[in-house]
Amino acid sequence: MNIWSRFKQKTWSKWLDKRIPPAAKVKLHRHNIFILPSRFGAYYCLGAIALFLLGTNYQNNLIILLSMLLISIFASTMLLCYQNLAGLSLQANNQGESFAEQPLKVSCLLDAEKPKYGIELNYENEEHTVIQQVAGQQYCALRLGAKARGQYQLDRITVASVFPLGLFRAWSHIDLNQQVIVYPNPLSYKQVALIAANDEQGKRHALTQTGDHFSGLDSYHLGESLKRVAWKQVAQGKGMLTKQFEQTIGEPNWLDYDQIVAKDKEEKLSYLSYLTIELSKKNQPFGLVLPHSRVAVNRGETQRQRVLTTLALVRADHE
Amino acid sequence: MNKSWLANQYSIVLMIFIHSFSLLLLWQEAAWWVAIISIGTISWRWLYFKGQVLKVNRWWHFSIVLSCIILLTITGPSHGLLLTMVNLLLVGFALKFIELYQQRDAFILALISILTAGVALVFGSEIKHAIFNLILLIATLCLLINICAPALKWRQQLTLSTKIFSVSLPLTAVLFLLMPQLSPLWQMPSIKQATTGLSDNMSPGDIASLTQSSELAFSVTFDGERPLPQELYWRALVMESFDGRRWSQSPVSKLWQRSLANNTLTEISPTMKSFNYQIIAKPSNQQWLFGLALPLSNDNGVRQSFDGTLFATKPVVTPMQYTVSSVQGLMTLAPINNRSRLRNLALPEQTNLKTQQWVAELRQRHEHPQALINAVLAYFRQQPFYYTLTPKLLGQDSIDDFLFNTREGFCAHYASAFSFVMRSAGIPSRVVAGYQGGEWNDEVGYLNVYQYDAHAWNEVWLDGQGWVRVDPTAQVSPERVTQGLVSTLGAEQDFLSGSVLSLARYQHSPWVNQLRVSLANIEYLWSRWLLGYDKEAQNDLLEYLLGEVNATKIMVLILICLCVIALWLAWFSGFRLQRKTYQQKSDELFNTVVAKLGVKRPTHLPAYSYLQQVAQQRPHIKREIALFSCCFNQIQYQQCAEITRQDWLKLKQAAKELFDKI
Repeated sequence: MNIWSRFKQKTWSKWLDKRIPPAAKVKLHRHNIFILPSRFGAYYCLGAIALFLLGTNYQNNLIILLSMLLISIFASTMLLCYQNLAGLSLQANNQGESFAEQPLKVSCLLDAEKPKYGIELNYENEEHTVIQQVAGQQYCALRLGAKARGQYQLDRITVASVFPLGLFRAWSHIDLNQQVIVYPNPLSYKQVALIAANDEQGKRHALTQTGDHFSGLDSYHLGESLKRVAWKQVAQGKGMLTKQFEQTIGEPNWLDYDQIVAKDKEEKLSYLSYLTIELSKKNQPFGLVLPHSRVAVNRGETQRQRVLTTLALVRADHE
Repeated sequence: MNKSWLANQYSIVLMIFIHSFSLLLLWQEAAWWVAIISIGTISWRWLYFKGQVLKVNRWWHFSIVLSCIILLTITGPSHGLLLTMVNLLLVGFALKFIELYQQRDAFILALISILTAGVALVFGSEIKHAIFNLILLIATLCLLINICAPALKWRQQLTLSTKIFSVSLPLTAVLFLLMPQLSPLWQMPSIKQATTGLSDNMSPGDIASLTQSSELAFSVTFDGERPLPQELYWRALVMESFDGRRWSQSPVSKLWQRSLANNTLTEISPTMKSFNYQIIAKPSNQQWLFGLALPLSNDNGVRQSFDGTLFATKPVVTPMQYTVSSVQGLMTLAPINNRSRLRNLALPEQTNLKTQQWVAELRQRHEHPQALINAVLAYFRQQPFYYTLTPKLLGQDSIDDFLFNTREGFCAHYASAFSFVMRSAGIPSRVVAGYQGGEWNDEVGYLNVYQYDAHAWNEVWLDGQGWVRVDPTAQVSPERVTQGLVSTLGAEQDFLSGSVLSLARYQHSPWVNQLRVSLANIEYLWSRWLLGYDKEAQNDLLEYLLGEVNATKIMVLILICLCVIALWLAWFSGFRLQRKTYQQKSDELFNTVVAKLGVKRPTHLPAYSYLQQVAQQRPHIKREIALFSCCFNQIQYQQCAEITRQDWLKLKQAAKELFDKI
């Protein structure tokens, strides 16, 4: 097993890299399609040989003819199977966001001049996606199991098809040079630990109460500031509630790593991820403060991506 | 795994069709309980598919399989090996309907169906069988396509499977014609079924009604001259033993001798007319073969028995073609020996006394054997004898009863009685069974002999002449010999009353007859050229194509054929010399542009952004870069099918302008 996996890593993948070099768009043709009889194809041949023997032993020309026909069908199917894959092009599609602990959202764009049938796509050791028919351009979501946050270079995709009769399997291992950044899994965070925009020196002041508009009451969570507890309601016997405030649009916020209350680092990052998403939903300007780096205040889709990427790439041994 | 085919009504219907069809193909061979199991599993699958029954649980499944195995083992010995294998195949086919879980199972089902098609051909290889097989094969291809590509509509699937089939035909033809024809590798269990007008024994007194079959017995092609219709006595069996009721072959006739060389015939009788002809015998599962007078054949697998008939070394289970030569009227090469004479005079004692008495009287009047024969024949002619296919049964002394009482019967009655009379008179005599006549087909030039042409007649030994053929039936019903059975019976009796569907029954209607003759022509060509294709035919073909045959020439021929077929397959499947697509070309052009610009492009940077950056750095070629970028994007981000040559030319023009500026 060791020899095999070593061979696979070194020789095989090196050979593949040379044979089918990574590219954002790959068109399948005779240089990158492999084809071999499937297991059913092998049984089919055995069947044809058995019929030939039967025909010879009974001196029955019709049975011999049938076995020859079966062999001929086998041969022509090989070409059809190859042709079904040839001319199909795949293009990396880097849209879509992926979060840790959720199946990754990876897709590619298929394009074929002539219709193609029964195309199977999968990453190594991952689930298959079957597309019954490709005609013209179409997106195809690929399945990839959940991963921890970080940046990944994706494996080769196996594109395969047994069309038309299942006698042959034509396949190709293509590398679309896909990189995926897996953001921290967002966990909802009730205490809005936002930091008001500061003076030019960049000094930070933690504010327990964010914004200036009272928005409502929420149940008290452990770790929340006692200053925000609505004592009047406690006295009335309504339980521990905290006052919630809303930030007016346009006033920038700082998401501060140190201010997040969580049991470990990953959880903190998850909360930050959640807050980033929430803030961008409201289209508010915000920045990120990490112990060793910061992302300047901005807003919109780019800011969201920038912040989430920064969060995804925080080093694991980071204090 | 892709399982959508299991929920697809079309694929279930196809599977059920395929199974029922192969069951119908093997209807006569399959055991009755196989059909019951099939119906059970098919209906379960249908109801399960409709959601009306539950899954078969493990115990049920186990007990069904077990009972099938038990039934197969119990019925095995009585059915024989071949039929047991057929039943096993069909049972496996039926049980697969319960076990359809994965794609693999459906593939196995398709494979079994193909094997069944092949096995069904063992039991019949006429055109109709070939057509049924073709339907089964195409349906199986449809099923396979449906499993692999459920997105296709059934009409498209049918078109595709027909296309795959027809495109494979040239290769099939080449393989079939050039593949070495092997002799059987090992002995296979024989097939027990026969519908022939002949049998190796005959007891006329016990047959109340002779069943007629319009099936073809054999076809004959003559080289050169054809014999007259009254000469067409196709000898198959000689019966020399008589036990009082039944005529049968003597054990001696099973012995064989090497057939004499054809040229000895002309040496013996240079002046007499001789005929050379080829016979294609239809499968009879018997060893007897047919020939005129004393037939001689040098073919492998054909032997000659001591009584002067031909037989095959193995039962004829597939159409068999052989070449024969005969001399008109020549029946004897060597004088009769003593043992043979005794055999042909032997009579059971103390039977048919009335006949024996009558013969004794006749003998006193006619001393010369020829005169005696004439007298007996005259008796048949003058007394009210009647030719019928549905005679009365005969009593204990069958010959007495026939000659003096019932006086009706078919050929076997007359032949049997005549031989008995001759033997009583001391003239060696025997009964010959075979076929008489046949139907000429002038278009293609062959003679078809059907099972209803079966006939029986006599041969008597006359010193100085040898064996001489005598046909007592001809005395009663001369048209039987000159015009055939059909016209003999005419409207009086119901010809082929057993088979309503037989076309031969309706041959009085002209267009039905025309249809029947055309079908017979096709059938003849089919047996002659396809079923009869053997080593010799292969040699002839190769000699015709190559002249003198040697290994190099054959190799070259095979290579040429394969190359031509490979090209044809490649062309059909859409394989063309691949030109670079416009996208690939534009990629290459872009790379040259990058090289000319001399600005390195980071791998992650899209082409568009890269060009924008360069344009900012070099404002003097900004316009050209923008134009190139625009054309480039048009080609890169359009659907493959929509890119035109115009787009490509525009891009080239833009690149040219850009290069000029640099």
